[in-house]
Amino acid sequence: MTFFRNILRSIYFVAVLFFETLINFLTGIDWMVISPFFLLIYYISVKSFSNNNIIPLVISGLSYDIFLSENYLGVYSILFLIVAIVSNYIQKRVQSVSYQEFLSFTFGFLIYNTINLLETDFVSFFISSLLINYLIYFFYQRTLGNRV
Amino acid sequence: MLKTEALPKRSYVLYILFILLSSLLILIDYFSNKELSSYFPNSVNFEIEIENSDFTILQRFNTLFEQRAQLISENIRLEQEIQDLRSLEIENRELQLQIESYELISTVPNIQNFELLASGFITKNLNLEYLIYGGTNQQLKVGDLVINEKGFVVGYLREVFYSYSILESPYSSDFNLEVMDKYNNTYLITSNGSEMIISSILLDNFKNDIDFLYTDISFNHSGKFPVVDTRLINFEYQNNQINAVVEILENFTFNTKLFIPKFK
Repeated sequence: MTFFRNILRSIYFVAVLFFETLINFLTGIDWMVISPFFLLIYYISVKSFSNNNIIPLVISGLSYDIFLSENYLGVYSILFLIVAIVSNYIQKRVQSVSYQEFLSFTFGFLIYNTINLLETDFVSFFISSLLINYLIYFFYQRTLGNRV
Repeated sequence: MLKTEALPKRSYVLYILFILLSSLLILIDYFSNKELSSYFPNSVNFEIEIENSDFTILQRFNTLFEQRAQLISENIRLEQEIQDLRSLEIENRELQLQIESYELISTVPNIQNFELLASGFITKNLNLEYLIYGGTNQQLKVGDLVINEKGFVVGYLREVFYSYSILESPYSSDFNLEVMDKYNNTYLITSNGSEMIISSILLDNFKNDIDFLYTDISFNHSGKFPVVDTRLINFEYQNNQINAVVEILENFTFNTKLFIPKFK
């Protein structure tokens, strides 16, 4: 049962990841990126952090490395796992701060975009993408509440 | 308390284990010269193999797309044509109505010497005066005669505004119009609101066979137009003075066609 659940979750994660690449291709905007897969990682990391997410994240990373990048196999798996850990850790660590959610979101998003860190316009790209994605996350939370 | 503190740290263990595992994969991939990561991309073919027979199908598709594009452009052209025809139809209807309205008045003698400005009733104000279309924007001025489609005078302009005017008609007790018969006898027509009162002003050559009372340019009117048909009126002749009372029969409606004649 756990095996099938992991498979289904993996398919779901991979679909979202591929959807992310597709939507950014279709919109054709260079100065920002919409990251539904990051939002998914962030959401499961802060709302329902568990070991059940490891396999889907690893499979998503492997799928990305195999089909959509020139990286060595496993790079994106590590990246996704680190994003999940860091987002969860900061969220738990800085609970006393009022803007803890935005802080953890920013750090998570920064790690998620480490591959683009050496790009010339990274700062403007990062800020615009961060704001857009945080807005999406914010409104998603507002409309759906805490439902998973 | 202890449990809640310890839980996050313990839950990261498996994550870190998988990070190490993934690192191992990177190492293997690195030393195998990307054999591992390129296995699937090299074995999976995303391209569709096209055989010769498929080209015919593709050509058919191409033809279909071309036909579709032609149909769309033809459809747009036809749509535009229909819109043009509709606007022409509306214009045609308006012109027909205009022609109909001019049909009767065109039979009035000497009407061709006048430029007729078509008008109509807008409303009747609280002072029971009629407001009609046309004003200073059509070079109308106070005193201009207003005639109906039979060519009979229905009143004159008392006030002229930019796009509308106030008509002084026999329904107004202020109505006051000097007229003349064919023997150049002059009369004054006034009104009590329901009847027109005809009184002679100057009778030089009165005869009983007068048919109409006309407006005249000698009274600063724009032309000679009939006001009253006197053939069925019984005139009272006393002391070289003629008086008559005529009931106003004409009813004004929104459909009543009005013209303001201007001498060419």
